[in-house]
Parts: sequence; structure tokens; C-alpha cells
Amino acid sequence: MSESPSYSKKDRIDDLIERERNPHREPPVRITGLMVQYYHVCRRELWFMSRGIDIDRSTPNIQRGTHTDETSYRDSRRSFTIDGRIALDVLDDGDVMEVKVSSSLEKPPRMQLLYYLWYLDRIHGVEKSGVLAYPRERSREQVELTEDTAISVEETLDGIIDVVESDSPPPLEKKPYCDSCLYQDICWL
Amino acid sequence: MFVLVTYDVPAERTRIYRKLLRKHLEHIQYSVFYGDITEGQLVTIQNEIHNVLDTDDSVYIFESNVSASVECTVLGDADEPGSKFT
Amino acid sequence: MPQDNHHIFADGELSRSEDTLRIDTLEGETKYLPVESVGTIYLHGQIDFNTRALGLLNEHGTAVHVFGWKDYYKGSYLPKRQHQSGNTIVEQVRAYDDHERRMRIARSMIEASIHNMRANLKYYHTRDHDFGSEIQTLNQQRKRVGSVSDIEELLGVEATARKAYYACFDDILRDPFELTRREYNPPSNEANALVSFLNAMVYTTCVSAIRNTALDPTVGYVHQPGDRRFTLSLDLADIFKPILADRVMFRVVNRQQLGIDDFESELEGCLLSEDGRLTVLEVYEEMLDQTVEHPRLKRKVSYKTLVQTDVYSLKKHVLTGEPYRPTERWW
Repeated sequence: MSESPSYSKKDRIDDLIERERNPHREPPVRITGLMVQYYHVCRRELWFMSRGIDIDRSTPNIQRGTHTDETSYRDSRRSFTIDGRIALDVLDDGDVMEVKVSSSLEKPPRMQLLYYLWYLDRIHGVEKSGVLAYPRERSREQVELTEDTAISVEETLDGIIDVVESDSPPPLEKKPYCDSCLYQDICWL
Repeated sequence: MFVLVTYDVPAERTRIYRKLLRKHLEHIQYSVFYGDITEGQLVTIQNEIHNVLDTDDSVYIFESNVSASVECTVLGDADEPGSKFT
Repeated sequence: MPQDNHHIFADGELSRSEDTLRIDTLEGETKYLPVESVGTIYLHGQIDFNTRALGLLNEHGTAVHVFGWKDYYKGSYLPKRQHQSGNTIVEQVRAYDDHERRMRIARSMIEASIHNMRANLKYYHTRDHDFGSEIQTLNQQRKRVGSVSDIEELLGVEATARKAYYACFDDILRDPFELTRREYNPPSNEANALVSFLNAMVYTTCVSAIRNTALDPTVGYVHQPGDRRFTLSLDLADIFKPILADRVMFRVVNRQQLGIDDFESELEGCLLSEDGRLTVLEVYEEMLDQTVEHPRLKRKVSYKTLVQTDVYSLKKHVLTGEPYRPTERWW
């Protein structure tokens, strides 16, 4: 391996951007916001999800999440789906909003929001600001795409492609939130 | 988990609750529903109730994590709740 | 966590009413079944239903197993799969088609099956029975599993083990119940009738669990496709029969919950009466709900959940190559 990793990563991201801009999109991996979240929560979960390995839908956490998401700020936002896979909410003032149930895990929702901003900017040439909202704690936070945050998005995308293209799932690793994970049973059996 | 739901709502609204609760729980008396369900299902029920709740409505939800620790005595002409047989 | 079963013994009609299931019995009773909480419905009586009712069952992923009089299990109405995954089926078939992969899965299944038979014998061995030599036979057969090279040979090992296992039944079962030898189509005596009925229940329990995943019930690893039934269910049922069916049988017979008068002998063969079926099913349902601490999941799971997790484990194996761990009684 004489090639420097950063160089090949750059190529890969350029390739992704180019293919995403193409009207007949054929990106190497169709990266969704959820995949970005999973990458920062648990890569094994991302691998399972990318293979369509199914889960028990009656697990309580996802139910709660769905409800908070559906009922918060219902009046002041509009939902859009872009290219069939980026589902984002835009507030009246034009900011892209991401609603999260709890702020205990901070990075995953932030990276998801940054990915949306990155996607709008790099693929569609639309510059937006973001708002990360935690309705349960009644707090909001402004999120911007900067040179630094864009690099972290691209590192994430590169990492996601690595995980998804791998033939086997990343090894089992006990994490504090395993107990509330939808893939718990699949993982530990 | 053990769940018991009761409601007191204006007559014309009973149908809404009856229909909603019958999908998840056993209808044991006029406005009383019982079930041994998962936590996820209970969250779903609560969400659905929130969506229909009106100013004059009231709903009680009793729950216990361990169904086995809830004793039930049946007096008079009624079946044990929770039967898996018809 | 798998959802509840509901058994309908009454004759009558099953219909859709206000988005849930409604049963009207011929005796004039009306009952509503919570469609969100019931996972599987068993029809034991004469039930009419229409496409609206089937549509509702379909929407909620509720399976229906139909039991008849003579040969017990008649068939199933399986809802459209909620989890469509072409990928899973492709991998499931690939694992079948690759001799080495198929043998690895089939061997684990038979090992688990023999292990679970042996666990039952050991249980009674410590309670006034002497099954030393049969346990020895099961040990030997289990060891042989590792060295067999094809399915035929594997089936031979399994048959030898099962024969030694069934030979202990007459000793375990309280008189006058006697298996003598395992016979079905039709069952020749009370004990055989009981085994047949309970095995059919275990089979349908496995069908429901498989249907909750994207795996295809028709592609099994031990049983040859082309058998009349869902071969993957037959494979899994063999693992769970000792845990579910046989223990229920020993319990209802030895605690005298069931007597000879709970059976009806026809011209040829012997069948459980309706009351007998009800008694057996009550105990079977209790068994499904019994819980045990799971060492890897670190929580209590019901026996019914174990059937589900077994399917998950198999599915994980075919999709990821991580080991399949069929359920071997550890408790």
C-alpha cells in the first residue's frame, strides 16, 4: 500500500460527490442520515442495517422516538425528502432542523444534521444553517457547515463506505447503550 | 407487563376509545381493558390516546412490570381475564 | 418478544370489526381479540372467515394455523412477510447449496437435538430412573455427528439417538400410558397420539417464529426440500421437541391431568378428544411462557422467545458467517 490513505479517501469522496450529482444517481453506497447516525453510535449496527437484517419493531425506544419526532414543532416546520433518501425538516426561517429525543448521545444527531448540510451544499449547491433541537430539554443549538465540520462529514462518509462494503460485520463490542439497541438480540445470540 | 386501562368520557366519544383499546387489550368490562403486553405496546397505546384526548376525557392506566405479581379475583358471572382460549 | 397465541375451539365466525378481530361463536358469545397483541391464532373448531378478516391478519402479520380432527395439523395461513429481504433468502439458499455450509448447520442442529433429548433423560435419571445406557448411547451419537460427511449419515445418527430416547418413554410415563414404539399416521395408541399432537404444536410454533423473520420456511438444512412440509420448521422443531413437547407430555401424564378417557379410539388409530386437547394446550402454553435467564442476552426470556432467538441466530449465521448457536438446554 504505497498510496497515502488520505489521498484515496479524497478520491473516494470526489467520486461520491460526482456520482451523486449525476441525474441518474449511482453512488457506491446510498448513504442516508440514519446511516450517519449509526456509524457514530455503533458500526456493527450500521452493517446490520445496511444488509437489511430485520429487527423487532415493538422495542420501546423506537416507538418513543417516533412519537416525539412526530409531535414536536409540528406547526412550524415542513418535511422534504431529497433524492429519495435525505429526509429533512425545514423551519419557517429556512434552517434545517433535526429533532432528538435526548442529548445523552450528542455526536450522532449532530453528524446527521451536518451530513444534510454537507449534502445540500456539495450536491445541490444550497447553503443552509442547521438547528439541533432537544424538545424534552427545551433546548436548541445552532449548527454550521465549516471547513472543519465538512472534513468530519467526509471522514464519516469514507468510514461508512468501508463498513458497508465489508463482507462481515465489525466485531462485537459491549457498549453502554447495547441494552436499548434494536439489534441487541441479533448481536449477542 | 400488566396493564389495566379505564376511561370516563362523554357518551359520544366512548366509541373512539373502545375501538382504540380493543386493538391492543382485552375488553373485560364496559370501560375497562386488560392486557399482558410489551412496554413498546404500552407506549403505542399512550401515544394513540394522546392523539384523541379531548378536554372532557379522563383515562387511567395502571401498570406493573411483573404480570405475575398482580393478583386477580373474579366474583360473579365473568371469566378470568387473559385466557388464550375461546 | 413474540406475541401471544390464541386458540379458538368454539365453532363460529372470525371477522373484522372496528379494526380488530371479532369472534362470534355458534353459542351466541361475542369476543374481541386484540389484533395488535395476538401473534398467532390456532383454529381447532369449525370457523368461517372472509377476505376482510384475512386482510386484517395480513396487515398485522398474524399467522393462522388450522388444526383438524384426524391428522391434527391441516395447514397455515401465513401473512405476507413484513420483512422483505431478497438478500436473506439468497444467503439462506447459498448456505443450503454449499455442501460444507449445509453440513455445518445441519450438524449443529442435530447436536442440539440430541443434547436436548439427553437433558430430558438426565433429568429423570436423577429421579428414580436408570437411563445410564441410553444416555451413553446419546453421548456416542452426539460425538459421531462431528465425523459424518453427508446428510444420510447424519440422519442415521439422529435416528439411532431418537430410538434410544423414545425407548425410555414407557419408563417415564405413568401407567397405563405406553409409547411401545413411535407410530403416526395414524397414532396407534394414547401416548403416540399425544406425541403427534404436541409435535404438531412445536412445528407450528417454529413456523410462526420463522415467519417473523425474512427467512424462508421451505428451505431447511437437515430435512430434504420436497418433503410435504416446511423443511426449516421441521429442522427447528427437532431441536425444540424435547424442551417443549416431551416435557409437556410427561407432565400431563404423570400429574394425571390427562387420563385414558381423554382419548377416542377410532377404527384405526387413537386421537385426543377435544377436552384432552384443551388440557394439553393449557400446559403447552404455560411451558411457552416459562422463563429462563439467558446467559448471553443477560435477561430472562420465555421458551417461546428461545424459539425466536434460535431463528435469529440462524439468520445471523447465514448473513454474516458468525456462529449459529442452536438452543441447547443449559438450565
